[in-house]
Amino acid sequence: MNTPAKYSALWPLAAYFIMVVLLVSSMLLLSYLLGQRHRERVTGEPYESGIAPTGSARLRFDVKYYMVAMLFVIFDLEAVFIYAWAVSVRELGWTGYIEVLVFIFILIASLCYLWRMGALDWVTSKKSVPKS
Amino acid sequence: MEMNLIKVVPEFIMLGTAFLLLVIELFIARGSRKFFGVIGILGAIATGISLLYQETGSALGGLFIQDQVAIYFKALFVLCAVLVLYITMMYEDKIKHWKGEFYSLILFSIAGMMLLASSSDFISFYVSLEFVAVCLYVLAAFTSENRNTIEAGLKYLITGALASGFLVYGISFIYGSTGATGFSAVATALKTAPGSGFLVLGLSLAIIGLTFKISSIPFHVWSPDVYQGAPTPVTALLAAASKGAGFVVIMRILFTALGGIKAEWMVFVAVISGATLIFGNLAAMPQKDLKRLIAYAGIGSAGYLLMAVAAGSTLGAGAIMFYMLTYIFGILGSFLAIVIFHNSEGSDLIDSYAGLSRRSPLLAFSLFVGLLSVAGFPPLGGFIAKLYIFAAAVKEGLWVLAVIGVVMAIVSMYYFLLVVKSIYLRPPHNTAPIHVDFTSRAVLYVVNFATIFLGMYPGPVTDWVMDIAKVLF
Repeated sequence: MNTPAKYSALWPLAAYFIMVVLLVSSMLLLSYLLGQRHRERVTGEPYESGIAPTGSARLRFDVKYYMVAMLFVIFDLEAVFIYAWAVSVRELGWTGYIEVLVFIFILIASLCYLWRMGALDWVTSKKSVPKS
Repeated sequence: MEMNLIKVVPEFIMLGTAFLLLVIELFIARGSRKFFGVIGILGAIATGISLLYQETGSALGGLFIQDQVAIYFKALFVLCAVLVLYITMMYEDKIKHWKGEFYSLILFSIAGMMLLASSSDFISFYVSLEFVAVCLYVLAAFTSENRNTIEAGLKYLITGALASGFLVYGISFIYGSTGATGFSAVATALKTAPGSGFLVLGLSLAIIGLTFKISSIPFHVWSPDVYQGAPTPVTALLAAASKGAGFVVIMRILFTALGGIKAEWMVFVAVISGATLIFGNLAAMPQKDLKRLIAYAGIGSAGYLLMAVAAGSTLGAGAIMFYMLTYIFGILGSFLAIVIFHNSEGSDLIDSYAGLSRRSPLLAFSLFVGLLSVAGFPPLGGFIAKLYIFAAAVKEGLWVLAVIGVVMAIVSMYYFLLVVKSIYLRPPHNTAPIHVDFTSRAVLYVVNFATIFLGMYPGPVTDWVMDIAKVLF
């Protein structure tokens, strides 16, 4: 495992890393040394296409954004599993097909659940949440 | 890569029942969900019948093993499912929201435990463990109107996450030093290459992570608060099924995968076992709340089971399997009596059980049989189980541990007999008889009969478990 040949194959990577560090640090250093310095009234303000910013950035977002984002991520990732099955569908045969059917059935059941629980409604009406 | 889906049919039936309940819940009006318990019990019985037709072998590309031990433990989990669902039906009126989900989550967690009993690879083991844990985190905090329940759920979640971290870290070291994740592949790797320091580190971390599931030292702290605060059916599930699931994976990891380096883990497990025995039994003595007392007694029981693990022999493995059977009957019979008593009196304090024998002789007798079986009183099932554990420990030369175990068994008699004294000898605060309906009577009779029968005539069952325990080695 620890042969020099193994490591010598890595030299382009090391050279690339060193070059990146050199380039970035030289750019930062040069602009620090050669650049001008201003300290005006609006220097510290964020640049928004020339428009003066108003209000605070610390807004409270509705929790529904997180809810929808979370559901999207979950279903998105689950779709990736179906792609993984699709690329090897011939090798997996009927067993794989049954497994994917079970998987999709679980997805449908959970989608059904979310829909009935009202997790997909943007405006929550009290009566849509069945509390048994 | 052989899939062999036919071997996973019992798990599919359990999961299918859980999904069925989840979907039915969405489309019916609010109200009682008692019939969910009936559907769940029927599903569990169907799972049990499908287990009878299972043959041994592996499935899912080597991640899943169906051997005699797995089938035995799955049968125990199905038994737990039936009894816990029945306890839930008795308890249901106390759950205000999402009653149907409570039933389906119980079935999901049982399905996870069944997968856990069959996992033969660190990957499938960890995924099944988290499957069980996520269901139990939700269940422990289910009746979230109650402050104690929220506290219980939070403590369970945080300690569970910490223990999972230990476990995964340990597994990564085991993988790093053996280059394999399959249990039998790890065992093969250990035959050719001796264990390194990293392997021992990984092994210790994995054992520490697993102590969370079985509520032994060092991860025992959650159990009294969670047992007391969680809804009683969840406490029953944690006490009986979750502990069994923890021990089946401990046996698979230590006996099957790491059996080659028994010298490395034997002392470690023995020390944990001794500390757990002493702590659990001494801390149980001053308890006033029966669920909390059972929690500390459960920590003590984990100590006994770890003693059999430390023995690391076929006798020890068989003793664990028999102990779990008697423990399930003893503890679930007691919990059914506790739920019925709580429905009538609204209290779990040992003091409120005073004079129960004059108010409901059957409830009093069930608690008497169940708790004394857990304590290991002679004519009951728990006694035979403890006897086998001591025999296994002595046979492997763990004399000190066996002596601690015997002394602590006497201590556990003391605190369980205090409960019995309250039930039988103290005058009742209130003389009104407690009504027990017909089905509950039948269930309690069956459970009590099983506990007594296993103590009187254990021969066939113990011969059988000693025989099937061989497949682990």
